[in-house]
Amino acid sequence: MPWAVLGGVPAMTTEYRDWLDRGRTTSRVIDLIKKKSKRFRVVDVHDITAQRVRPGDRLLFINRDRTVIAVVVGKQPLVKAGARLIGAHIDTPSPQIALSRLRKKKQTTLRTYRYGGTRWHHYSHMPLALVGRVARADGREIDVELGLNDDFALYIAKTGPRLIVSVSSTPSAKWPGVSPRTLVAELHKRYGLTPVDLEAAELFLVPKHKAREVGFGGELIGAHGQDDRANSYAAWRAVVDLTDTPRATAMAWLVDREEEGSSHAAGAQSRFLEMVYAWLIRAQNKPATEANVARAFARSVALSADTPAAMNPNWLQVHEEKNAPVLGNGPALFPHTGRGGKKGGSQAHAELIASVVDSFKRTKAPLQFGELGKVDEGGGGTIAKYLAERGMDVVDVGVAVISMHSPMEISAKIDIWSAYLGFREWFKQ
Amino acid sequence: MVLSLAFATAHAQPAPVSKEPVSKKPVSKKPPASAKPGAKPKPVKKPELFPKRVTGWQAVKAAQLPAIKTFASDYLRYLADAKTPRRAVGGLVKLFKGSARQLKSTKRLDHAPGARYWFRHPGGDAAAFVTVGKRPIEEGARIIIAAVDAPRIDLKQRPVYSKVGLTMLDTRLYGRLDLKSWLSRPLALYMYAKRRGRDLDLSVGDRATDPVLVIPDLLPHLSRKIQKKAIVDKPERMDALAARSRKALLTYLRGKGVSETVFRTAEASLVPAGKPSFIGVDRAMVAGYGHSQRALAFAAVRGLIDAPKTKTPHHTAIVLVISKSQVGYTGSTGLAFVKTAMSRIIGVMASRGDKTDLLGVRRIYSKSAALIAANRRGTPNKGLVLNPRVDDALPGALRRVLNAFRAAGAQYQIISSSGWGSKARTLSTMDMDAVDVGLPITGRGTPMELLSTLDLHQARRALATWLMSK
Repeated sequence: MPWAVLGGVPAMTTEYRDWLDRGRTTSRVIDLIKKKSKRFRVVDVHDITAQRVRPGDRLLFINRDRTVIAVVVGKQPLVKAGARLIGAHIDTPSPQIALSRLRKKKQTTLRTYRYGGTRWHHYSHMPLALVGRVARADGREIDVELGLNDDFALYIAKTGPRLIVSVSSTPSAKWPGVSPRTLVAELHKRYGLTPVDLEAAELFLVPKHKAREVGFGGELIGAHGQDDRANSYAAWRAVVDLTDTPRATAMAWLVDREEEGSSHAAGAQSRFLEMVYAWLIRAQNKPATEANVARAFARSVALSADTPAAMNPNWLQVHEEKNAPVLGNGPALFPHTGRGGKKGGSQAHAELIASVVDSFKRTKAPLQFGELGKVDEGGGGTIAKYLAERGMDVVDVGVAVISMHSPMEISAKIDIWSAYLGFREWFKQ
Repeated sequence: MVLSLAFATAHAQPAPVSKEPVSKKPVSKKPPASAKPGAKPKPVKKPELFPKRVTGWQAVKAAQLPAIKTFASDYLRYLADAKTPRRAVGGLVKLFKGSARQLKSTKRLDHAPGARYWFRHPGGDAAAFVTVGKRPIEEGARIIIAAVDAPRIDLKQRPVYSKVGLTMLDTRLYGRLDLKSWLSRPLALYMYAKRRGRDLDLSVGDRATDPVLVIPDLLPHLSRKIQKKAIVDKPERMDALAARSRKALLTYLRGKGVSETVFRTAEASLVPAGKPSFIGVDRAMVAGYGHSQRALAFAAVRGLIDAPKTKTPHHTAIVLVISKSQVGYTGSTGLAFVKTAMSRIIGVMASRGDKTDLLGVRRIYSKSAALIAANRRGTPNKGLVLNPRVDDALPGALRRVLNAFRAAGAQYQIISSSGWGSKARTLSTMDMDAVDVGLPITGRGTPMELLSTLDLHQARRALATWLMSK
């Protein structure tokens, strides 16, 4: 009875909307996971003192507050049976603030650049908030936010190669008795930050609006960041809700920097996964040799859970109507990705596709097949190829959205619910 | 005979501005140097031809900041509920009617100077707000005209259709929209219909628990070819996602009393969801939907309301709030309302002889002067925008306006960018001195326009003084 765990679509919606509203940055999502993954032990992957794990143990490996691997140790040792891994990303495209101007005393406007596939016109003329993380001069890192819960917002008026964001327009320190009101002054007031502290920071501009129900009937959710906080939510929740110990070790790897190509210490190309495999192999009393890790990888299978594009009724001609996903028909399984002759994509083996289809069928969760747009219309990539590179069999499957990479990405609740059920069932196999 | 003589002299003389009280605190002039005994008499300083001007926020004193912010907060509160022309007018009526009475009959008013009255077009999207002046209406009126409609996305008469598993609402654009900025953001549905003689006023999307509608954009992965030239190549792409199931949509609407027949007769439109907001850590700007002229309409009506009881306007002060500015001011509540409202005002205020005499009525027009809100480009924080190149106002008419602004100590900017569509010219053909006036607004036609609280403050002072001016 899966309802016993997450309590059905309405309960999931509440939790998911909260996940979107509070998890505005990667590090905030990690915070949420730490708080909400009850019965999970946070483990330092560098801690190689004699630790042992038993089947059923629940572990969280966190790297740099940006990526997390949630593990439920299986009945079979990792080297023997491999793992069942779902990879998803928790970063999302949005404008990022250029740090160059923060040192200036007068900051009427700031420059921004794009993080990931952000589109200029989406963020202009909209109330925005600033969220991010600052590494202070003393080395401590703190999360900051400005405008999200205030009576003011930030605003991008001029678009172009660089977005210019208005932060203040009154001449600072002009009036006696009135403290200067610039961005840095405000950050100083709230967090004690100085321009030196702000030299090392990642500051994003996100839409101020929260996740909303879209349309009548309560079937759709619109929010910023569902690519890919939708699938990462479903994957994480599926691991957390595994009630019985699975045969093979279950893992959900939530990565950062997918929108920037995954080449990052917290991205899917990092060797963090190898470290965790090695740690687990050692903890299961086997030598953590390179050969053993490679063997474990070769016996692992993975799902790359990322958001495909559901058909947009206003732009139907970019889709191939017979094969493109429809919003609300379940998560979409992509047997292949890539562009043109499937270049740069991954092509899944039929055995793995069958196992995914079986899992969804067994739990009566809808699943559909799909592809991204017409051939040669464009294309995109997922982290599938970085998982495959390690010798794992991998297939792309994920909750589809409309208006991807925009401040209001739209998903269907039933798709997220179905992904959760299907992922959970797949872990159990 | 006497009257027609007065008519002639009014035209022969320049606008009576010379007696205008000067600003309480002159900005440029220094106090005369104190004469020390025995010191040489200083040569008389020639007036500086180009005095150093302090503009924008530099000219604002710290003590003024709270008032600027309070007024902006009031405006935001008004704007939050002014999403449609009908509601925008309704909001102003609500503000005004506390201190005024509604004009219901066409009988002559027993008008004491300082008395206030208002009336609304039966269509709901236009209204007149009047403060009776010291001088009889025969000596003309001071008028401000501002439209309160804004670009929006209307629904077609049979809007519901289904495609690829989704239920959509077919739309038709109203006004000049910056289409791309309306994509992929929360929108609210506002609907007004008459059902069995009753008002059916529906809004969905502005309460936190409401669903919102979205016009979905294409993802960048598939946009390279089709959105290369323009993000939105045709307005047909602006249909809104309304539900997954058609049944859910129709059930919801039926629950609110909206059948498909009602839908067909309704004024239904999509506007940006969400409240207007202060912008910037200093809260010095405000962003909201439909600033362009609603800000001026609000400032003008507040100008009437905020005038102290002791300060009766010299001439009768009139604020006419109209609509249809986005479609060329046509329709009964467009510029036509200026004529109908003026006829009504003259009808209840003028003496019997004058209101029946065409020449009498024309004379009232010719002695009146109007400011009409216009969309103008300008620099933020530099005050109201005047563009004589476009409205082609006569110097005398412009001088009268500028002197009122100067008397108010309000900043203004004179620009000369090219443009069309001056409604001041149209008003001038009614034999009225008319000048276009605008606010420097950024992002016109987008769902969230930007306005400086300082400019709003300047507008309020300038317009209030104009309404009181001789």
